Amino acid sequence: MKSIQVTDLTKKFGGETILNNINFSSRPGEIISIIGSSGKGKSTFLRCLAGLETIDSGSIEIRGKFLVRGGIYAPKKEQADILSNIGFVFQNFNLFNNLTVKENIEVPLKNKKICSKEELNAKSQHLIDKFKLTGRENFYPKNLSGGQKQRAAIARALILKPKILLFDEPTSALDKELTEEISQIIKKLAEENYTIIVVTHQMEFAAKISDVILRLKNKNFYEEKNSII
Amino acid sequence: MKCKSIKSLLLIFLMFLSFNSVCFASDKTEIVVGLDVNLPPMGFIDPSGNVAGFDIDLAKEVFRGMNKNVKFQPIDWDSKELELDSGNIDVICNGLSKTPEREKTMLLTKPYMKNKQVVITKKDSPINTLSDLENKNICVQKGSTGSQALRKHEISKNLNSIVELENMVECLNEVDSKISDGAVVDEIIARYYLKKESLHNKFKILNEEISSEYYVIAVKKGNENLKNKIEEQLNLLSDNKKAAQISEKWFSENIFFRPEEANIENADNISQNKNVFPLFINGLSNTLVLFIIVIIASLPLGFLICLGRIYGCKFIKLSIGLYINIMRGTPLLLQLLFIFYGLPYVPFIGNYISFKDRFLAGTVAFILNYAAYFAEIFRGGVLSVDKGQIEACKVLGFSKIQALYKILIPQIFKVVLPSICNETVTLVKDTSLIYSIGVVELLSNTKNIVNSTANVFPYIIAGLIYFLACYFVTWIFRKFEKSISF
Ligand SMILES: Nc1ncnc2c1ncn2[C@@H]1O[C@H](COP(=O)(O)OP(=O)(O)OP(=O)(O)O)[C@@H](O)[C@H]1O
Ligand SMILES: [Mg+2]
Repeated sequence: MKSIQVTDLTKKFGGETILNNINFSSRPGEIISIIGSSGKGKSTFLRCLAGLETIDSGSIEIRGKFLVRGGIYAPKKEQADILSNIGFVFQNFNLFNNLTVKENIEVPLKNKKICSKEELNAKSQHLIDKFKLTGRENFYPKNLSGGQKQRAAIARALILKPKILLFDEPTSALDKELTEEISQIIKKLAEENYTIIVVTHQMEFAAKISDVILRLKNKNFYEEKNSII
Repeated sequence: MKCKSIKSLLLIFLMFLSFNSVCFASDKTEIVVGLDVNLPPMGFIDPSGNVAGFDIDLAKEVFRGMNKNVKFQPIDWDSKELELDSGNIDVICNGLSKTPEREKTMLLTKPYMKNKQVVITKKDSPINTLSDLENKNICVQKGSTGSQALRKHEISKNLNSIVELENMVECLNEVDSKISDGAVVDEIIARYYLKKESLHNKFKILNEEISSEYYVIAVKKGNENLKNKIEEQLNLLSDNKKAAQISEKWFSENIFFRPEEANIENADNISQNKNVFPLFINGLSNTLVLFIIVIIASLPLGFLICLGRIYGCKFIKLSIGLYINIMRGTPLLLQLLFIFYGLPYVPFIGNYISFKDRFLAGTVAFILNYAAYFAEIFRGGVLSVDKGQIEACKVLGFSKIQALYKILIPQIFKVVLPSICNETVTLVKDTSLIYSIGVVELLSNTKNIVNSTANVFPYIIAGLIYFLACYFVTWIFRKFEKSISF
């Protein structure tokens, strides 16, 4: 089963077409990298999938349900339901400045009011341990290092157990060692059957983690030969 | 060297000061006469822009006789004692009634005219005698003889309220628009005014008087020389019938009398409450209540307005924009005056939205004004929040309310705190403006105390209270700021 199926997606800003008739699909457990030079529309594509941008025509189907069909969006309630399958890790993390690491991780789940305090605590503690944030639980974002912010952002994206994870330039702020660490994390998540889409500038990083590499040029995707695999 | 020159400068300055205070007005060639220009027919600005009036003509004649030039200086009637004391003016000759208080703070001539304090009502009013005034609302000119006389009179105990306004014309306007049931005014002034404005069929004057008194001319305490010369001139003007001519010009009869013949059956002994403490506390509590209500109401209102301006539909955005521009583009004083005095005259809606209660009207004006400023501060705060924070809320499935309440408001709050603090400190000081619609508050009551005691110390106390209040507000906000750890 396809986790994401995009058909004939077109996105314009003002009069300018950024993405033209894009077709794209992904399966659970698959890691897809999107590369391409700056300003080509990589982030825009991810934002369309996450519902942060409105597309002009085409369809987006997520786990069998249409977010947009032929340019027409599903009703608001349904959209929210469909988008809950998607976790987004922003390039600049966008951690909530007024919340601590622990609060940042907990708040999306807390909002749903579906689990007890103890459960919530157990879940966030698990993620804190998993992403090596122990000892930093009560820090505010401004007091975290780039790598810590990165991991906190991933942990926050995972608390709602989405099936699909979108990463926008996850390694741009990181050194070699931390890049390696993120690679491991992403690979592990794929093994846990997450669908992973990564936008990146770093060809080497893309080659190392991806099953498929797509290059965005001329407003469309072209598959790139993976020379490492 | 430097030190020496400063010392000598200081010395010159001190000499200048002492010279000024020993140099009494009678030695000068120009005499400055202070007057309340809202006091026709005694003194006012005529249609061509010149000061005119009975007392003006009288003063001109008096000082012509003394070979002095006269300059007429409009003053705030409340501060006449201070004006005289500081030498800003030399003489008050402007329907000034003789009272024991004034005898203590100024040097008064013998009387030249008799006047009564009377009650004026609308022609169709059911009030015909003083006893009909029970439970009614009466207005008086602030600091006037009428004000003191009314408070002294036993009828004042049965009144519903006494309101002090800036001048008699304002009092008559209030009676006309039925905000007040009656006003206590000088008979001479009121009769002249009614005749001149052809208002006889609008108002009536009750037969019973509140008090009677004598008009005198005042000079600075200690300046016997000038006082004697003025009295001499007044007698002279009486002898050569000049005074009678002036009187006939203004009142169509001669009501001037020769000061030397003034046989004073001591005018009603009007005395003010000497214990000024309750007056002070009363003003302070009004100021405090106003401040607290305004700050509590205008902050949330400002926030709502700000949300409307950013997220509302086009119509809401435009109307809020207009509202904010009006509030920020016009003086708060004007807004206060408009909301209390102006609203009843707005066609169609005037009858429904006018305020009967001064304090309420003032509070509403303050809230509307401050909400506009707070809305703009909040807008700045909202715009300063990174767009990424809102996008994160969106992808993490926050509802609009959750995003606002858990993420945006705390971050906005942090950004706006210093500006809100600033504005709140301004409010502490702005509260004094409510005096303009006749509500007593800390500063105006202090001014009343200063004027009745001719002692400026209460100003220092009031200043200290404002200062401490501002300091306290700033301190609270600093605490808040420190408590925000992100
Ligand atoms: N909200 C917007 N309004 C108008 N134009 C936009 C908007 N957002 C992005 N664009 C334009 O769309 C194009 C693609 O932007 P996008 O951010 O997707 O590029 P990118 O491929 O992610 O670049 P980079 O590698 O530098 O992050 C750019 O030319 C940008 O100017
Ligand atoms: Mg980008």
